[in-house]
Order: sequence, then C-alpha cells, then structure tokens
Amino acid sequence: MKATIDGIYRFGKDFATLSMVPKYKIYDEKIIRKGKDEYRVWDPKKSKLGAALRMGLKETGLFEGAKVLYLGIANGTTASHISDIVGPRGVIYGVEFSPRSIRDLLLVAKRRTNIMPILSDARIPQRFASRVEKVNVVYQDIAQKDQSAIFIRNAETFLKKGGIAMIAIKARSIDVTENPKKIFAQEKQKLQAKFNIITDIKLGHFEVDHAFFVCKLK
Amino acid sequence: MYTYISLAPIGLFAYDADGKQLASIIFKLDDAKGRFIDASGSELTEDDKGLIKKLGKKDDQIIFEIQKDGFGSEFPNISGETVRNNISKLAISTGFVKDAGQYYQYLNELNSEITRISIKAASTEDRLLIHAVSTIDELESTANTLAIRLKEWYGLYYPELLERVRSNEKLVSLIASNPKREDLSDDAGLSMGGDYSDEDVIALQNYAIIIDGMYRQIKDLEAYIDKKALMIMPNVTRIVSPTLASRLLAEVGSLEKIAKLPSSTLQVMGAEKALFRHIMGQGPSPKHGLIFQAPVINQAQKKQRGKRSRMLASTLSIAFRMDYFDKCLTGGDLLKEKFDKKIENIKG
Repeated sequence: MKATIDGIYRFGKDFATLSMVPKYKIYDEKIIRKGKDEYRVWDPKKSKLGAALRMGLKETGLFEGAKVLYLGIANGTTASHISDIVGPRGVIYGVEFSPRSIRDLLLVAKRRTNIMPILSDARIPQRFASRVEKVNVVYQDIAQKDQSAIFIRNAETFLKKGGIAMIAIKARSIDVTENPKKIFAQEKQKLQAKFNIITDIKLGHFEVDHAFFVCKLK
Repeated sequence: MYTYISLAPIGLFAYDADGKQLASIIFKLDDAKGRFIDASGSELTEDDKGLIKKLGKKDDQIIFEIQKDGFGSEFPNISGETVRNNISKLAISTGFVKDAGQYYQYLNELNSEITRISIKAASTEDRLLIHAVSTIDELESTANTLAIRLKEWYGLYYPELLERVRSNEKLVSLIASNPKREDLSDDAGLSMGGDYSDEDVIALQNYAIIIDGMYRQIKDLEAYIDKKALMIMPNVTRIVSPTLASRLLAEVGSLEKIAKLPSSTLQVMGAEKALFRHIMGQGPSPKHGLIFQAPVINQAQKKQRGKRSRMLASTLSIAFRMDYFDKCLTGGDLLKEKFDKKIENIKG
C-alpha cells in the first residue's frame, strides 16, 4: 500500500499508520488488516495531529528515521502513531510534566523502544537537554499560558536547520474569557517573529477552540 | 579562554569556544546509567573532577551546561550544541556502543529508569489524602443513590419505618442488622406493607448490608483523613479543620502546587462559577469559596465575611508554605495567635 503522506495511509476518510508492533493496541484504536500488515486508525478525537490530518494537513515533516522532540507527550496516544511513522530507526524524545500520564507512557515505551520517556518541565530545556539531541521535528501539545514562548525556546535549542515544528494551541488555556480568534491571531504573531508558518489549521469540532500550526525556523 | 563542559548519555565532553574538543570522559555501557544520573545532579562527581583534572584549567574558566555548585553555567553552550548534533555518531566512534541501534536501546532504558525514579519520588503522602477525599465524595453519592432504591424496595414490605427513620444512613443500618418488621416494632402487624416471605426479606437485607458497608467506609476514611491531614499539614490544621484542609488540598492536586498559589486563589477556590461570571463582567466578585466551610467565616456577620475570608486565605497560604517547605510545628501556633488577633481587630 502506498502512503498518502510520509508513513501515513488513507482509508476512506480515516488516516492510519502501519503498526510497528502488531497485535498491541495503545488506546482502543481501530485496526485494519491487509495481509500480514496491521494499520492502526488514527482517532481524530483523541489526537490533535490526527484531527489536523482530517482537517487537511498535508505536511508533517515526519519521515522514516526522523528524530522528534515531543513536548507534552502525555500517555502516548499521538506518540504511538508518530512512533509508527519514524519506525525503529527513528527516535521520539517525549517530554511530559505529569507523573500520572508518563506512567502510562512508560508501558508504551517498553514495546516501542524508539520512545524516550522524559519526566520534565518543557519550560526548562536545560533540565533535559543532556538526554536529547538535535531533532528533525519539534511537536508541541501543552496546555499552558506561555505555550508559544515554550515552543520557540525549544525549537531554537533543539531543531535542526530546515526542520519542522508543529504546535497545537489551546485558546482556553491562554485566556478563558477572550475570543479564541483573537488569541490565535495574537499567538500567530508571536510565532511569526521566529518562524515561517507553512500551515495554519483550526481543529474544528474534533478539538474545540484549538489551532494547529506547522512552522519552519526563519 | 573559557572551556565549556556538557553532559551526554555516553559521557562528559569539554570544548573550547571555537568548537574544538579538548577532552572527554566516556562512560562504560555497563555502568553508564548510574554515572549519568549522578552527573546530572548539581554536586561535582568523580567524573566531573576527572575531566577538570584532564583539562588542567582553573575552576572559574570552566562553564557547565547544567547547574553545578561553584561553577558558572550557560545553556545551551557550544559543547552541548556540538554533542547534540552528533550524539549517535559519537557513541559509535568513541566505542561506547557498536551501532546506533544499541545506542538508542540504551537511551530508552536510561530515560525509562530516570523516569521511574522520578515517578517514585512524586508518589508523596499528599496524593493518598487527595484520593481519600475524592473517594469519600464518590462513596457518598453512590451510597445515597443505592439507598433510594433500597427505600423503595423496603417500602413494599414495611413503609411505616420510612416515616419514622428519615436519615438514609440510619435506615440502611437498621435494615442491614434486622429487616423483619415484627422485630422492629410491636404494631408491625398493622403495617400496610405486603406479607413477604423470609427469602424476600433476606434478599433485601443483603443489599442493605452492602450500602451499610459504604457508610461505614466513609466514617473510616474520614477518621483516616483527619489523622493524615494532621501529619501532612500540621500548620494548616491549626488554622482550619483537617477536613477543610484536605478539601483544599484535593481541589488543587498537591501540597507543592497549593504552597505556590497566591492567597487570592485560595480565597475563591471552589467558587469558580461565580468568579468567571464576575470576570466576564456579570456579577459581583465572590468573597469566598471552599473556605466558607470554616466556622470563622460562616458564623460571622455577613458584612464581615469578606474581610475575614481575605484574612483567612492569607494566613492559610502562609501555613501551606510552612507545611510544604518546612514542617516546624511552632510556626502554626504563632500564626494562629496572630490570626485570632486580626479577627478580633476587625470586629471593632
């Protein structure tokens, strides 16, 4: 089967990744079998990258063998699909602040050894820098007020030249009372100071009041 | 000229400002995890000392990438940048591993181990308290739901008892210990309830026993929470009851977080609906949230409550800080004394 985007396959309106560890489900995702291959259907309601694909995302910057820094990896739902895409030769450095979430991720990382679970504060890259390396892709999904600043700081420190940085912005965690449109415009401006924005997608009904940006460092 | 040192999963590296490698210490794969974890701390390890000795430089000319006691630090520094650009190649060329696959296998184990250690450290006593508080809430609502069903069921057999015993908890405990109406009252023969067999009544009793167990469990948990709260929050519990202290803690999620909250947040916590209504510009600002449960506030005159809430919140936030950062017991007494005086003052 041919991939629609690097490592990402399309089945009707659904997107899926070719499972690196067949027979093991990460969340209760649907499985499509084609001969010996198992494709794990990407649930747009449980993964913001999955939602972005459904909303028309064309470029992810992810490829087989890519190195990824994932800030806010949580329990590894989205990460499991990225893990499929980058494969055994790729690496995901997964930074998460919540001990509860990373407890689940540890189990995922046991079978998917390309995931490196790091319990640390994404706000302070100095604390985990010695365990990571320069990466091709930075992916961020953290619900923090200063998420754009955190994103810029990490991309500047860890992103290789020409690498891609993706961020899911949650308007409600920046200011609950402000109109999301206004917040997205304001965050976009912050990002544009350091990045060229390639894609700008709203996640629509999959994730209310969320925007998704794909950027390249200037 | 400064020398820049960085730590990597395979060892320590020193570079000069032009990006030339001056020296390195490469761990052995067998003991690398322990040496890396040690070197991540702020204390100088044998490996750090070994590298500095190799360099033969004065301490004030050495810049680390992480914080090290007595040394300067810069993040990111040229050493870290260079190493992070080629780490998998370096791991092979220095002989640390045979190939990239082996390096990433090691890195996965290293990161998993460090994460496991941190998770263990994060499993503190306050977490237990928080779960106990939430469990009580869930048990209470579940037990009451089940009790309503029991009432309807038992009402078929002996509705007069429901009239006499209003409290769910008491009723459940009565039915659980002996549901037979002739044992509960002399005039049971006059009951308008149906005449059911022993088997029917026992089925009902078994159900009541389970609900009764829940009510008992709530009592046990309450006692447990009080005891635990006194231990974990000795200062806060001088100011408010252990129950309220635990509720506040459960609302926030950890002692660390609550110790770092501004007292204004503590003051209105639990009144979020009113607070956001106010922020949106509709309605007055709430004076108090959960802390309203403290008698010093709910037993005060209405016009005093705002002032008292502010006072209580600020005192509590100091007390939470004492409990999190330093558990000195005398602090709480002094705080309580001052608080009482302040309350006395605003009375006049």
